[in-house]
Amino acid sequence: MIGWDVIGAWLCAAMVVWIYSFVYRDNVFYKIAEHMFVGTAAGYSIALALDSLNRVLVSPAVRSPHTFWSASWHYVIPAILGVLMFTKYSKKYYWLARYAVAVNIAVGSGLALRTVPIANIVRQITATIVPLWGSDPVKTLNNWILVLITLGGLTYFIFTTFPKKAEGVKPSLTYLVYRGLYYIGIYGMMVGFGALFANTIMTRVGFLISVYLIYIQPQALASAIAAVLTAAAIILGILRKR
Amino acid sequence: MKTFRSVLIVSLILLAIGVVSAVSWFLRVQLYTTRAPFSAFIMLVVLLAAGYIFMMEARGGKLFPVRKIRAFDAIEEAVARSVEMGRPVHMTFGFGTISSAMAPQFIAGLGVLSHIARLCGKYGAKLITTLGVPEAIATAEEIVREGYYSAGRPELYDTTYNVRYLTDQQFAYASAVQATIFRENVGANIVVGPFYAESLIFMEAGNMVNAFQIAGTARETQIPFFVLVADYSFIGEEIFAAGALASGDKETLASIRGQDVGKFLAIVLIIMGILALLLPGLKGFTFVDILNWVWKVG
Repeated sequence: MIGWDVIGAWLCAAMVVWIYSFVYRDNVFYKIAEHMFVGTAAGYSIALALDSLNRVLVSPAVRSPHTFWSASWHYVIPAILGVLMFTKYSKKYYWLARYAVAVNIAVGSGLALRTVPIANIVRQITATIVPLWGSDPVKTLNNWILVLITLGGLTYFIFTTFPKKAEGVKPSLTYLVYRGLYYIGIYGMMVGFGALFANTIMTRVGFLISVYLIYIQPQALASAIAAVLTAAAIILGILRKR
Repeated sequence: MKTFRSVLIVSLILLAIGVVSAVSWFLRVQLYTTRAPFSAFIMLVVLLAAGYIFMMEARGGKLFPVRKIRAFDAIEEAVARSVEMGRPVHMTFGFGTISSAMAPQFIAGLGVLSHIARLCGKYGAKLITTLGVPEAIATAEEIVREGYYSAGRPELYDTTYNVRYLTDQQFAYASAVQATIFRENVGANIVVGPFYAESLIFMEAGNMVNAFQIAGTARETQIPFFVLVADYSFIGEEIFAAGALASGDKETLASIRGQDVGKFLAIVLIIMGILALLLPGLKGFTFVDILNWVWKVG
């Protein structure tokens, strides 16, 4: 008797292989997996949204209207904004949808404003205030690198005020300092990006291994077939590229 | 006179904050969180005030030139190249919800979309915008339509072709965008906004069809992928500058000057803090302690 868990494992393994098959080229199996994935995700989002609307607004408003209107009346505002979104289908009133979008963007910007000054400004500044002298030469060097790259990065991202060098004129000290910090900033960032890249790739490979570990446990045969097919798809993809 | 008015307005705002603070203290209401340093609030006020003043100056006619951003200049080249090759231009600006802390990046992405739409109208290119943000569908449609109409090419606008909402679920969106890039054989793949693990998937799909790739995000963990794979990339805050440049609006460009004030402030505070380490602490109260000081009210 084949249970749902076995069918699920097979379907899961097949979907992984079908998605991987894109490495070779676009094909019908990838299209099946893609459309199933997108359709399921869209359906899931709609179900979640409707459930949330029901739990927060409709159900409380219908079951206990007195409590709702006294304590949670403000939920009506986002509901109205949500309805305004649908006016985009009207040629006459489509502009009303802009208000809903504007409120959404304003809320998002407000949320960003709440956290950015603490996390991205104050904490970063205090973390960069380190002694540039000391008895430990390694720590001192580390601190110099930290401070120079931070100042360089900040200089790189200054867009509207920058010293210019006139043709045939000796560059000013301000210009030299600016260019020096600018290059320290860009090269320092590149080194950081390299480290981040390597770190992320290691994490992704870890995910890949964990996916296969899942298959190994319930169905050894399914996992073996999936691994072989995936390897074949990757090899074919590499050969095709050459 | 206008500067005086701006300073007056900022002073009034600061006065209002002071009054609210005093009232909250009197009523024993906790207005400020006791976990956040007060310096963060001061900086927020200073940056908002600086941005406001510069925007007012721009309204008065003052221009704030922004330094050259190569990735931004390359957008026109990418669109023109796509037209020469007879292939469409693809643009996407991320997935999720616009009412999150990623909103500024979505706005920057929409600004770049506006620029691309205008260029597509100018050169007669087909534009495909894939979306993962349901709230932005109406805005994206309007921006693309405006781009084609303002260039005098309304016949090129087709809502269902130009703007395609996929889903707000990360990897479903990623797989659909990847397939769109490949199946439509796009000539340019422009990706600007907040991106997560799907960034490399988009870049690889663009690489498979030999598309001209321009990408940018302010999410630090994804910048390396864009820098490595794209032909041109916006690094971090460059996407906000690009959004402002794309809008062509003097006031939006002036807001970039406001952001620069924040960076100058950070540089000055770092240098002051390091120099202050040379001085003996005031009963153990250092410069860093001042920045980390929390104002407890109520």
